[in-house]
Amino acid sequence: MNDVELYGNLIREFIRKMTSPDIGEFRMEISSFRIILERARVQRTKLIKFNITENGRIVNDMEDDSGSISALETFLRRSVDFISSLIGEELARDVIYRNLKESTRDLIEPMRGREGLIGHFPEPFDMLVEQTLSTSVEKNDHEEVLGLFEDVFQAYLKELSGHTDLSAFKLKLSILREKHRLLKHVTVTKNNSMDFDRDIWATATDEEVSDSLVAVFNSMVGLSTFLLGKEEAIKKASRILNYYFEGKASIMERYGMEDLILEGALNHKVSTGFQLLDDKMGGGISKGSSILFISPSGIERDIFITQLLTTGLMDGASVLMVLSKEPPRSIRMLLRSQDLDANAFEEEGKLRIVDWFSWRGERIIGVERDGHSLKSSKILSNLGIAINKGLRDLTFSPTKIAIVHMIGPATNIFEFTQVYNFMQRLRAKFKEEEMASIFFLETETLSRESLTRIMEVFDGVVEMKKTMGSGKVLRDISILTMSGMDYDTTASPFVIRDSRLISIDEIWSDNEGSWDGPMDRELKDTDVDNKDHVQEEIEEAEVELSDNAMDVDQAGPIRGYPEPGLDRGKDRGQKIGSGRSLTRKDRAQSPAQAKQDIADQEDKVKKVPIRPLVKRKKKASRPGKATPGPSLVRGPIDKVSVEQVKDSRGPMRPARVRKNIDTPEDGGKKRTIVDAQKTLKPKRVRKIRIAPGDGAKKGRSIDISRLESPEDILKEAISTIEDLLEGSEPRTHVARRPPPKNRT
Amino acid sequence: MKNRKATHIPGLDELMNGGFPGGTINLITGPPGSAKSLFGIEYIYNGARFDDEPGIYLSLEESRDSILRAASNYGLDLTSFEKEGRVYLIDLGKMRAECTASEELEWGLASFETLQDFLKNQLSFSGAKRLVLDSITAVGVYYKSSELFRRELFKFSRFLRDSNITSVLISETSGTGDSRYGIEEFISDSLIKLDYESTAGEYHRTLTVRKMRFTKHDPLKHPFLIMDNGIEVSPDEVIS
Repeated sequence: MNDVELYGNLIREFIRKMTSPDIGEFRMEISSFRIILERARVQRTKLIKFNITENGRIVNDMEDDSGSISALETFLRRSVDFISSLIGEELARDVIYRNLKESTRDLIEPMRGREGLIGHFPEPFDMLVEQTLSTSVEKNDHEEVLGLFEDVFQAYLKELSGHTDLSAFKLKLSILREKHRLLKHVTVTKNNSMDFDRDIWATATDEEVSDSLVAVFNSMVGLSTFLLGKEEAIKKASRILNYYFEGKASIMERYGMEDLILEGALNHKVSTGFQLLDDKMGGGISKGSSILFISPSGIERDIFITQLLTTGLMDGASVLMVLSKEPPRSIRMLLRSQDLDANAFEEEGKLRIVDWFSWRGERIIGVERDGHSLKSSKILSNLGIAINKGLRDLTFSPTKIAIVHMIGPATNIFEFTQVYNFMQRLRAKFKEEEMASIFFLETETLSRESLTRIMEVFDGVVEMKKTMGSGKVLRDISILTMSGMDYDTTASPFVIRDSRLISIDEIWSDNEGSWDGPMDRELKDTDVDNKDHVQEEIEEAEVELSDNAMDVDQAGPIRGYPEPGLDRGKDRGQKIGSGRSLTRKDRAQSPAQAKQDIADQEDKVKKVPIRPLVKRKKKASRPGKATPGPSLVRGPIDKVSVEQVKDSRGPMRPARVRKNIDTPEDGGKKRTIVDAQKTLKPKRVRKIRIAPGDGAKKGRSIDISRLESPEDILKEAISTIEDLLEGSEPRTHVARRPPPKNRT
Repeated sequence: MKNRKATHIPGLDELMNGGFPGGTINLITGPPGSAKSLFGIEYIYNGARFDDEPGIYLSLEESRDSILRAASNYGLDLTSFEKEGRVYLIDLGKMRAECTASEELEWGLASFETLQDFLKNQLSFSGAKRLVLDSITAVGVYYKSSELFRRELFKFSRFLRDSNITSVLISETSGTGDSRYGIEEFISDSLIKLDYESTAGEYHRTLTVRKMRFTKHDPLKHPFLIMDNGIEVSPDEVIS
C-alpha cells in the first residue's frame, strides 16, 4: 500500500467516525465534508482525483507523490479548521482524537518508517500518529505469552472440537473482535489452532494483550460450561492451565492475569490470610461454602479478621462485612493501619460494610445508607435487606468474601430459631453468590445444644482456642467439621508475631538461614503492635522457658530440620511436638554443622520427649550449663543491607537489618552475625531491639520514631551494634573460651 | 414472561414471575399507612416511565395535591407525565366533596355504574393500559347490602376485563381479614397484602402475594422498605 492510499484510508476512517459517531458525540454531515473538499480543490487541484460520494464513500485515484500527500493534508487541515469553527479549537481536537484513538491504530501502524508521510498530519492527527508509533516501538516482545496461549488455545480447541464443530466459538470470537482490536488479528486455522499476527500483536501494550487473551480464554471456558456443565468446564480449564502455566508465574504477573484466570475465575479456594488455616483446609475456603469460626474474644480473632480482610482486598476480592460489635469507622481505621485505603475500596465497590451496630445508639428506620455503608435497624429482616443491598453494591470479582460477625449478639436479642433460620438464609444467599463466607461466634455464647444445631448450618466449623496455665498462653486452631474434604484434624499451635497469626512452622521456616532462634525473636519482639497482654504472655513464657532450659538441649532434633524418616510436610503437628529449639551452639554454627550435630545427638538420645514449643529455650541463660559456642571475632564490616521480606499485606513490607562481619575462625567466611530483630513497620514500630547474633543476651533498644527511612534505621542499628561490640564481651563467651588470637 | 405488566417496584416483580398478568384485576389491601397508595402511584408512574404505557390513577378520597405531593416525595414526577399524556390523575374525591351525602347517593357519584361510564370514555380517550382505583372501599360505602355490592363489583370487574386493562384496586383493611368487605378478593385475580408487624419492639412493613391467578408466585411474607425512591421489597428475606 502506497503513502497516498494509507493517507486516504486514514481520511476515510476520519469521515466515517465523524459522520456516525457514538451517541452523544459531535456529529458532522457528509455534505459538509464534500463542501470542504470542493473548496480545498481550489487550492490543491490534485484533489480532483479524490472524491467523497453522497453516501460517504471515498474514491481515491490520486497518484503516489508528495504533491498528493500535501493535497490530502490540506483537505484534512481544512476539515479540522471547519470543526474548530463550529465547536472551538480545543473541543474539536478532543473530539477527533477521542473518535479516532481506538480505530486508527491499525491504519497508522503501517506508516512506520515512511518519513514522507509522518510529518504531514495536522493536529490532532500528528499526535495520534506519534503516540501509536511510539507505543509500539517501546516493546514488542509478547512472544512468550503468545506462544503459551497458542498452546493453551490449541489444547482447548482440541477438547472442544470433540463436542462441537467450533462454529459457536468462531461466532463468539467475532463478537469479541468488536471489543478487542487485537483479536481481529487472530485466525482459527483448519487444524483447530489459533494463529496470531505477531507483527500487530507486538505493537500492543501488555494490558491489551492480557485483556484479549483472557477474553478468548474466558469465552472458551464459557462455551465449555455450556457444553459440559460448569464443574466439568472448570476442571478442564484448571487442568489445561496447570499444565501449561506451571512455572510461568512471572508471565502471569507481568500481564496481570493471575487474578483474572489462575487465582480468580478458576480457583475454588479463597485464602484466609492465615497460612496455617489455609493449609488445613486444603488451600483456603471453598467458594460458595460457609464456615463457622468459633473463638474466644480477643486479639487472636481480631488479627484473624484483619488478615482475612486485608488478604481478600489485596487479592482483588470483593468483600462484604457485617459488623455488630463496632462501627464501620473501626474497620476503616483498621485498614488504614495496614496502609490500605478503605474509602478507595468502598468507592470501587470492592468493600461494603453492613452496620448492625449503630442501631444501639441511634434511631435507624429500616435500612439507611451512610456513605458507602448500610445501616440496619435491629430486626433481622432489615439486616437481611441491608446485606442484599450490600451484595448488589459489590462490583464483580471472581472472588467474593463475606465476613459476618453477628451470631452472638443476635442470639442475645432473638429466639434461637429466628437466628438459626436467618443463618440458613444467609448461607443459601452466599452459596448462590458463590461467596466464601466466615461467620464468627464467640466461644460459649451458645449452649452446647444450640451450638450443635447451628453448626449444622455451615459447611465447616473451625475452632480457635486459647488456653492459659502455668503462666503461659497456648493458642491452637483446629477444624471440627468440614464437608466435602478430608481435613486435617489435629489442633495446630500458632503464635502472634508482628500482629499476625503465624504457625510455628512458618516461624521456623522464616528462620532458616538466619542464625537466631525463633523463640529469641519472639521474646525480643517486645513491641508487637503495643499489645501489652502479648508482651505479658511472652514474659511469662520466658520465665517458663528459663525454668525448663536444662531439659531442652538433650530433648531431641532441632525443629526446622527434618527428622530422619519424617516427611516434613506430612505431619506438622508431630514435627512441631517432637523437635527441640535451637541451642546457642546451633545458632552459631552453619546449617551443615548443625545437621551433623543433630545426627550425633540422635545417636545418643533414645527417646524424644514431646514438649510444647514454649517450654523449650533459654537454657543458655544459665551460666555454666550453656552449650559452648564458637567465639565471635569482630572484623571489618563486610556487608550491610536492609532485607525486604515479602509480605502478603502488600505495600507494608517489613525489613530486617543485618550486617555481616568477618569471622577468621571459619577461614574468613562471611557470616551474618548481626540481626536487628525487629521487622520495621513505618508508622507503627517505635522501637527496635538490636542484638548481635552471637547468642549473647546483650542488646539495646533504639528509638526509630524520629528516623525517616530504612537506611537511617540501618545506620543507627550499625552504630548501636558497633557500640555493643566495642563494649564488654558476653559473659558466656568469656567463661567458655579464651579470647581469639586477633582480638584486641 | 409474555403479556406481563411489571410494577417495576424493586423486588416485587420477582415474586410474581415478572409482574401482573396483562388484563387482570389485582387487589392491594392493607391497613392505613401501609403504603397502598404509594404502591398504586408507583404502578402507574413506572408503567409510563419504563414501559411507555399510559395509565389512569382514579382517586376517590385523596386529593390530587396530596397524591402529587406524596409522589414527589419519592422523586416520582407525575406532573410532567401528565403534561405528556402518559399519566391521568383523576380526582373524583373533589367532585364528591362538593356534593352533599344525599346528592352523592342520588347521583351515584361513587357507584360502580358511574365509574364504569366515566372510565369508558376515559379509556378510549387516553389509550390507558393501566388503571388504579383508590379506593374500592369508598365505592362500597354507596351500597347498602353486601350482596348488592358484590353483584355490582362483579359487573364492574367484567367491564375491566373486557376493557383489556390491567387494573389495581386498592382496599383498606381494618382487622385481620384480607379486605374490607371480604368479597373483593373473590372477584380479583390477585391479592397483595401489605401490613405492619412488630418484632423485638420494632415495627416493620411486610408484603404477601396471597393469591395470583394464571401464574406462579411466591406466597411467603416478605419485608419491604420505603426508601428515598419508593417501595423496595426484599424477595430474599422472609418473615416467618
